[in-house]
Amino acid sequence: MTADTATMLPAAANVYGLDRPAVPAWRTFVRSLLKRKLACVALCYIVLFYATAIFAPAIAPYSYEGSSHDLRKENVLQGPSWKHPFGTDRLGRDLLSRVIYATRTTMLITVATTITGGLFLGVGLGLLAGYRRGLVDSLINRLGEALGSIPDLLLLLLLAATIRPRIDGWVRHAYGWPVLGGPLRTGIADITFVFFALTLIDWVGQERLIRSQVLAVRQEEYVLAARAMGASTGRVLWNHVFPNIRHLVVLGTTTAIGAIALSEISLTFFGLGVRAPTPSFGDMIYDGSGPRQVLAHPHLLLVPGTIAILFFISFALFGDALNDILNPRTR
Amino acid sequence: MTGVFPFIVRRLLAAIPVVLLVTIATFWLGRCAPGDPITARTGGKASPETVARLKHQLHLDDNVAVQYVRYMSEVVHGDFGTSQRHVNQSVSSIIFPKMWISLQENIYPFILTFTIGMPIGIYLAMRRGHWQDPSVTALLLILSAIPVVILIPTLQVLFAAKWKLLPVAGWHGIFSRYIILPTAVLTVPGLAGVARLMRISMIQVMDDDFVRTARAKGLQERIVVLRHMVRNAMLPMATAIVSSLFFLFIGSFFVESLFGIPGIGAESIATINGRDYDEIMAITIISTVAFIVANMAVDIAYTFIDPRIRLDAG
Repeated sequence: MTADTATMLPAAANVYGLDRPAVPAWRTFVRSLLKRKLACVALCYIVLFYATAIFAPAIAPYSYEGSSHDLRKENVLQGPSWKHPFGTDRLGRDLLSRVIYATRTTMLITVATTITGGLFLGVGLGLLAGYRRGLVDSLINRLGEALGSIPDLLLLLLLAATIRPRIDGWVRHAYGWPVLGGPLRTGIADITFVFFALTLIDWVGQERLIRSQVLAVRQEEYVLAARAMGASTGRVLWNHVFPNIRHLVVLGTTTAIGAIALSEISLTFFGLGVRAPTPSFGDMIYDGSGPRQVLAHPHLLLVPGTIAILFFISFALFGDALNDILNPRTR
Repeated sequence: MTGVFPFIVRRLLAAIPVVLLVTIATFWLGRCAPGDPITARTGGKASPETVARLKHQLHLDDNVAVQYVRYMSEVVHGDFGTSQRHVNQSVSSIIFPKMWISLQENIYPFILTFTIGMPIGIYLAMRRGHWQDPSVTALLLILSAIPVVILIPTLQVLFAAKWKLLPVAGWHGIFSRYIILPTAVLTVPGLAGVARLMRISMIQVMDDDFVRTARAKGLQERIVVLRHMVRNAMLPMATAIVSSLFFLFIGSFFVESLFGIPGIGAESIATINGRDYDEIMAITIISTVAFIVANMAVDIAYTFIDPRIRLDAG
């Protein structure tokens, strides 16, 4: 309930006890989250993962690219030691440093895709479709249905095969540019491509979720009342509709992040996502995954595999706890 | 306009723009692909006259819209063009046998997902409030969160390389030991999802009036659960069938590539690495249209299974 409706309707507000200082919603939320130990552990792991990604250059003991020194026989495919806690890979690169930088790839892609795809496009189009209805709604719906019917991995592969080579051509052209050239050479172009492709898919689920809830909320009496009093569309959406879909935004975003990270890893695993030397879990898992390879050098699969599995399990457990708290009917 | 028949007609009509969107987008992407068919045929050493003649022969000098219509009319007649990687073979002669293999490979996982997942979901719902429900639910969640790209090599190493119980990879039909690991990998995540959906669906039915009535008139608990709760809780499973097929399709990409099964998933990866655009376009169009039709069939089926569903929604 917003402040202006409370002052406008003092009598009604008193009847419902609205003038009583209530416990803020976020405090109840934090309290019920703290009760779930497993979800708290999961959240800690997620925070740790993203903190590692942010501070990667400060934490990583070596560079992820490797050097000619690493290629010497005594440095290649070493097991864990004091010098290299997670061992070294086929090219003698320190696995710990590669894993640390791989969290950075995951972070860049999940954060960028979530903000543009899930939040900006997903919530924006969901509000628009649900509130405006009519032609806009059908257009957005049909587009969502079309994107939702293409198996997402197939769409990603198709984009990687058709548009990617053109983009690569332009990017290689720009290698010599003064400011842009540097970041382009370090794999920013790959990450940008994966981000665009995933954004194209990511907004659909969020939009559907938001739209169905907006359709229900727009029939409510307080929305009708606000409109009758001449509130602008933006005001109605922000003050009356948005508070009712906030929990779905949080929930949808949490579920989507796991899916985005998984898509990037899968795409890279097939050699169509982020490319060497930029480290990604997909690429490292691929490198370590042949059965003979695993028997001889288990750390190559075990290290990136465990870190990635824990990431996905953490998001699943945390998302489930959020669902329990915010969507109590399914508990 | 709220009868069953107008609804079916409207649902069919709504699918048309979706199919158009998908095919136009796929066609356009195919045209964006690098390397033009003329250079591929002549090796870039042809005179301008030959190039113009080839262009005309391949209808490449037409308007893009005309080319799209021609392409689609060929597609409708089952002609997806010729493969670029396999000499003198049509795309359809390559992909349809592979689809058949993928279908066979997906039969066991599809059946097991529902026959194991649904009983687990019912059991969990009945044990709500006991220790079994939260612990098994969490376990299912964890199992479904493990990415297949990590699960497959791990299983291969443990069961095949280390314990030598099962073969590492290969395809010898669905009655051989080679199918066991792929089936396990494809079943587990879907099974966990179905179990969780069934559990939620049961819990939502549990407190309904008709369940209380059934108990009040003295029916055995077993009959209340099976006939009154499960039957109603199974409604959302119709949607789960389509999403389960969707995930099996995507899962096949990994399973086929890593277990060496010559199905459509492995073929898709190969076509992209081999830049065979006609073939990848064919696979995209066929599978997407199949899913659009499946979704439509489920929507229509609902109006027969559950007449309460509002026909004007959507």
